[in-house]
Amino acid sequence: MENAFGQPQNVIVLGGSSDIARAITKKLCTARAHTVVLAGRNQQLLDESAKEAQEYGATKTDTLLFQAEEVAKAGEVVSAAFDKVGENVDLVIIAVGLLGNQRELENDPLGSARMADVNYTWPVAALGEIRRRLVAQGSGRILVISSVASVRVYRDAYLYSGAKAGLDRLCQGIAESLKGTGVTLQLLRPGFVRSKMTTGQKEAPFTTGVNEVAENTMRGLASGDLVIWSPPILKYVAVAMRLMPNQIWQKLMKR
Amino acid sequence: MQSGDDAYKYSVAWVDCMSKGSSMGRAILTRGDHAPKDDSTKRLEGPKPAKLFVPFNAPSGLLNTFTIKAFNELWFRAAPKKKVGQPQSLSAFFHPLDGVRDWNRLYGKRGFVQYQFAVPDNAGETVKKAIERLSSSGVPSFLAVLKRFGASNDGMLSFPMPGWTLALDLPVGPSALPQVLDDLDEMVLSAGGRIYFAKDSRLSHEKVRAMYPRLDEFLNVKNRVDPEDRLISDLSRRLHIGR
Repeated sequence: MENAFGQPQNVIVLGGSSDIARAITKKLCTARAHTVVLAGRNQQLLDESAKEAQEYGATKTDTLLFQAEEVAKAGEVVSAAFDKVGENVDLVIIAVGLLGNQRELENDPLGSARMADVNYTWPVAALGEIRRRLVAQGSGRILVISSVASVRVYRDAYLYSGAKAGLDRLCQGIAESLKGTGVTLQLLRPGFVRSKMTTGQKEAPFTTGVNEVAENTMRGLASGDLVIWSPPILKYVAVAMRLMPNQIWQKLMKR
Repeated sequence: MQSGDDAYKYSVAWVDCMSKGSSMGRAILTRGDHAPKDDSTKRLEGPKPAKLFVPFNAPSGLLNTFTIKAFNELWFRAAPKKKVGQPQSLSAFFHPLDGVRDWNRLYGKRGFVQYQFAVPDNAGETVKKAIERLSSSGVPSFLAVLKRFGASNDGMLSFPMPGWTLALDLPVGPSALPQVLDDLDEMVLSAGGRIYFAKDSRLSHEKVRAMYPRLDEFLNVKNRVDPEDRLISDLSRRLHIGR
């Protein structure tokens, strides 16, 4: 059961070896999390994340392998994760995402579909099962890692940005539908973050490291706001992003 | 307060947690006894409905270090230096906050957490250290009430112990708040005290056993009469009381 600051005792992390997910998991374990189930595609990285969680305070950890391209199995993966926790789940984090190489994939139907599957369809399918389980419990939180890129799609990453935009808006619908059930959903919208996923990329303004994202997440869990911006100033930057004329926007985002 | 233990049945002090220096820990002390039946010439009076009220949720952050300091200053000055023999209804004495209907709205959407602990008589210093810790971390408490406690009752998880109890209402907002309260838990634990379940919403389950030495006795009874764990609450889930 979570406490008044939204700090959970039991956590499922889907995409558990992502850098942002690991930083958040560490903070959660330092707070109140004692049971952590990590699901991802690389067993070695998952084992490292699990060991890290224990170093930071978790007493029970477990891992689960899955491929986000396998959309049909999303429900099974979620179900297995819930069973591994064994009792009420307080928080499910969806940290599944693929930045991909836009230029290589944009003319490739299968590659484009894969981007949509990993960034959008798999999470949507998983949310169907997560929702069912948590509403049956009558309590619990869902944290979906969206992105500042979901605010407005841009040419140089539209496969990623567009999918995140779709996931972000759909999740807002889920959040509305959960009102009155005791379950809540929050969206984390980080800006550019220095991590494995962005290695080699040029840094954008308001770039942060993963620890700052984790701190903003903890604060967001306590406040219960639908959208958690990291860093918080992005909330106002987003207004400018939405309003500026298209030519200026696309030029600004050229990479 | 300690010296008046035998003279008055109830004593409560409103403490200003925001004042520093020589004013640190200044308080308004109120002590009372049940009015004897033959004393008052008035009829029995029920509690009156509050005239003041908060009509809607205040914006988050209305109750912050600055406004709380200002309020405390006014409240302290408004209290009489000495006043005796004033009759008060039970609600006015025990629940003065209810003088303002929906007072919780002052905390806005973020709300507040409550924190109350009891420490034995010989650990009065803990109260002072707790207030100092809050003050130095910039974590304001809108309400701080200090009371004297007598012995606990026969309940296996009874909260009181002969000594002191400090109750705090803390607006959620300062990011230091969760850690500061964890630190206060450690202070209370090392002083041989405990946290009040009825006010708790963030205690770590690992500390419960040390604070409530009769926990195992309670669990034995619970597991015997409720083997399928039907009697549960969010509190019992969070603090691992049961199973």
